[in-house]
Amino acid sequence: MSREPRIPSAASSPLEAAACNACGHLFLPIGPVCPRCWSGNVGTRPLSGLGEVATFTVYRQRYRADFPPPYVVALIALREGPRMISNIIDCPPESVRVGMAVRVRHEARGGRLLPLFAPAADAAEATTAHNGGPT
Amino acid sequence: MNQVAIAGIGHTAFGRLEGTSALELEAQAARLAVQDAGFEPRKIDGLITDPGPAQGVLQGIEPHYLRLGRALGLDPAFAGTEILGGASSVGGIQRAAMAIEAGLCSTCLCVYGDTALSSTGSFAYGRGDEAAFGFFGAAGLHALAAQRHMALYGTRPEALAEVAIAARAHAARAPHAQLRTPLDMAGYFASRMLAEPLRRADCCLVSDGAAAVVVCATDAAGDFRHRPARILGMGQAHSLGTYSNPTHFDTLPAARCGPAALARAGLTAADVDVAMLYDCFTIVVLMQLEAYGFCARGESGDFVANGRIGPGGALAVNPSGGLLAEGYGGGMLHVIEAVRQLRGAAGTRQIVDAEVALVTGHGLGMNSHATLILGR
Repeated sequence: MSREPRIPSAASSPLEAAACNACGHLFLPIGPVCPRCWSGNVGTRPLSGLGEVATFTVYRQRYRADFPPPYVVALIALREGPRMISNIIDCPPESVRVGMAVRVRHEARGGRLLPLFAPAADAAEATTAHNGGPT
Repeated sequence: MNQVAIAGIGHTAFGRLEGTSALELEAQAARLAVQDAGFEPRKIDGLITDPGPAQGVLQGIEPHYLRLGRALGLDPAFAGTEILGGASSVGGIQRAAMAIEAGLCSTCLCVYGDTALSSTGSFAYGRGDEAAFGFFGAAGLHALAAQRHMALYGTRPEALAEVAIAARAHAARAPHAQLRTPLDMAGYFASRMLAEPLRRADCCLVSDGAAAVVVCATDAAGDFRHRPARILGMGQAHSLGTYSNPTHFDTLPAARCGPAALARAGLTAADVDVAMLYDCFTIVVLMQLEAYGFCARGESGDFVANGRIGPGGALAVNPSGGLLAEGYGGGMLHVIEAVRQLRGAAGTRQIVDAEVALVTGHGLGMNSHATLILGR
């Protein structure tokens, strides 16, 4: 199997992270060894798909034809610990805040299923210790 | 670490230098630096190079030091290309200093050069799989740090503006600077938004140009043309875990290596007369002011208010204008300005009695940081 770091496999929702079978550490991106204990005994584990916005930016500049602005790129702090880059969708870019609760929503893009995130007002308890910023 | 010093400095013009190759510019900067040191070219027995953002991407696998060394006719005892992004110039000087201290060479030429402005249209490349989310370019990455800083500490866009405005005010006093027109608060807020909260005015310039320094042992002294700038301390730190490092956007690796390097030199931030802070984006200056201990974490917005890092301000930050206004010199122009200030040769922008200069490099997103402390 490929051992290169990659976007978590989204073909089989829900979102999953790499899980170290030696020390239990959950991590993204999926990689060849556990970055905490260096064990090569690494599998995957499904995640809740809940998290919060650790930080974000609204792109106003068009860099590529297939990404018309405005759109939101965010660092998502997942409830279980790992953090990943994704997009915030289903809300006006102006409404995104650091600390906002979000839930994964897979979308097909460019022939693959990507884990994107939408506001999850009903999941505010998703707030983790990984964040703490006032909004 | 008082045995190694920078004895020679030189650079080309910076800006759009259409029709001149990076190699020509680098050779010109090398000649100027060696002449400035008062050395003959044959004295150079070390070569460390930094190919800049465009050459680094475009010129394939032939190592930059090989191309430049061949052009300069060097058969050095020590050579290599430093690949730490924006930390490469400072990192390369560190590598030269370590080689000299270890006896591998005695006189090392360190060269940055690129034709980033005339040779390529865009640096908005994506980082691996993250391009699938439209996460392009260094501005977007640093925007994440800026937004986080604002959320955590209440930092306002005016703080970013202060950094840009100060850089332009400094550059107005540097005859060689690429962007010498002043900027005011209204001009900053009229600047085009790229990736919130970062505007065009928050971003460094893109430049053609080359800059070089000669690093050597001070016991080879006696025949220096100028007072050498001694290396008092240095350090590096990296955040390679990137997003898995929970503080990746909250602080810079500089928070680890900066105060440590100062301490090794027997100094603190309060002893720094000239702060040459790598300024690819305004937010990085704010975060470095905190990381090095010029102010407490979260307080850089207040620290820079009312022109306090501009000309005549409380702390001289990038008196030549830095990457934001002097030109993109990969960090080597920062080193050169530090040496000029320590020589007392900075003209109308001279900081009176400058004795200690801090030079920093920040590279590859938020991943790598290098610190150099120079003294008279």
